[in-house]
Amino acid sequence: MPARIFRAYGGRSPSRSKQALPAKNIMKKYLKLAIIISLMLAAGVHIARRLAPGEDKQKEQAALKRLFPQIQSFSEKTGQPPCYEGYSINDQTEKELKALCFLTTDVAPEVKGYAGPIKLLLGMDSEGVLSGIEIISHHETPSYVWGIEEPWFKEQFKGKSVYDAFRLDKDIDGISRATVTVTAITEGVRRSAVRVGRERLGLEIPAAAEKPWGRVAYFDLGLLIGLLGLAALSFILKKQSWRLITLVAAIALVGFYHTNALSSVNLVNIVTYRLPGLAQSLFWYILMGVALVGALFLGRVYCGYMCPFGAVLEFLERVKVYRLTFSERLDYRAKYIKYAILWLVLVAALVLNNANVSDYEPFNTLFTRAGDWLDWSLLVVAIGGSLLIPRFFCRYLCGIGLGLGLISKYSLRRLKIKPNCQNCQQCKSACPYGAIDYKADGSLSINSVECIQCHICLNNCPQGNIGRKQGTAP
Amino acid sequence: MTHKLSKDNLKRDDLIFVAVLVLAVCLVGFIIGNNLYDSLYPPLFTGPEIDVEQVLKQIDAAGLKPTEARHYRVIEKDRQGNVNEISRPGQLRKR
Repeated sequence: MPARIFRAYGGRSPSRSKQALPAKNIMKKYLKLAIIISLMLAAGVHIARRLAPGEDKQKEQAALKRLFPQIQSFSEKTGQPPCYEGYSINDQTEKELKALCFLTTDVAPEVKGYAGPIKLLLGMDSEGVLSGIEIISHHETPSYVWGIEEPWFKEQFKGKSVYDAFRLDKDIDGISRATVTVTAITEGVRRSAVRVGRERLGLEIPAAAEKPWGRVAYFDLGLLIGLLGLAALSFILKKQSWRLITLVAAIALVGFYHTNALSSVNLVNIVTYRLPGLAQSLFWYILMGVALVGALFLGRVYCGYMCPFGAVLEFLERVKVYRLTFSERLDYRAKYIKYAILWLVLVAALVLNNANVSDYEPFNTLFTRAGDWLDWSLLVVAIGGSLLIPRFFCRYLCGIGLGLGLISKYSLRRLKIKPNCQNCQQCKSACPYGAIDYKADGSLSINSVECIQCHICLNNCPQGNIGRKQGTAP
Repeated sequence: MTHKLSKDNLKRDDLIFVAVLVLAVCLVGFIIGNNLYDSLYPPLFTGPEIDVEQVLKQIDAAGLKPTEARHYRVIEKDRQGNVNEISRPGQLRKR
């Protein structure tokens, strides 16, 4: 049985009812209102920025000069597909077309990365040879894809012809853990170059080079379905041994093999409607779909059964080097930190139109083994904290966990303590994650925002007074 | 190893809890702050061909003082004249 982590005293005393603290409740109400208004304002700024034309215009102009430093002048985007036309002036002061520059998002908009379109500017001479590529904007997660900004990566495309095959890992070197992004860049460059070569330069490029975009990785999908089956089985059986086996599988598959742990960046990308292509990111769609639908119907099942980082922390918790027995009141207040963090990153991401500001979670550092000293330090603190406090990071700092928790608050069949509970508090003592609170009348209730559906409370209730009942909105 | 419950331990544990939490929150704050900084002040220059001299010229042409640049892109040339970049991309920023 998991060790008791809280003091027997402290916490919200049952006698401190909500009615006794009207000023505090009014403050809470205003705080909620302020949060909602700030998010609405941020959303307004975000929509205005998304609709405003030419935010990348300055970057494009600078990139044109880098792609063709010898060209004196470029036209505005013209023709179909739209291209910047670059001219040189000969001895007879006649303009001669020397270069075409175009955006992959204009020419091949169907190609998407992990977080929507990747805007690349390509330079091509009149023979159909690329002078290089420049990245104008993207919303991929930096800790995965920092390599695409490296000069060696962009240099690979220089000198490639529209007749080349652009095969990943043969003609173009990939970046490990960023396969979807690199595939999207390579395919976006190839498709755009072929279309512009055909339609603007009149080159005859064999149709055999065309391949359908978006390949479903059936093997990975098979593994994911296996994991989901295992999770469903352990959820139904309510046995901790089965859940631990599921968590090992989640670490292996979602963590290290597919490096696809859901994060706050995904949450922001959903809010800002920057979604990857369905076919090449079906794994992500299924995982996110299960997490959202699971939260809506049952609670935070993703956190309890499929999150690879939560799983690592849960296994660390079982080492039991030293278990802190700290005040419940501290724990109760500390849980609000993640609300502040999620609010901050959501507002910042919306206002700045950049989901990457919310990339703070140490999942990527652990599973990709990439990150700077700050990322590694946070990972060490998250791991060290979990040796002292069960799921330390999940409880106090995780943004995606909170997002799913807020949905779970309204889940249709969430875990509840039945009215005939004897208040023996064994469930509260057993819950390692502090997800069982006192109600105003002194009885206990399961906090759906914090509960990860591990069923430890249910297995520890001597009267069997915990179960799933038709939920009503709190 | 089991933890013996006592009043002294409980007080000490509260302090350890607060210390670990403050450390974690500070690190998260720094990381989000860095992300915000990267978003507000994206790199001025990218590309392998830029060296410090060119950077200084471009800063001058932009009407900025060289002291306003916070980081430079650091390169080295080997004996064959190959240019190797030492700094990470995105380090050269406008203040």
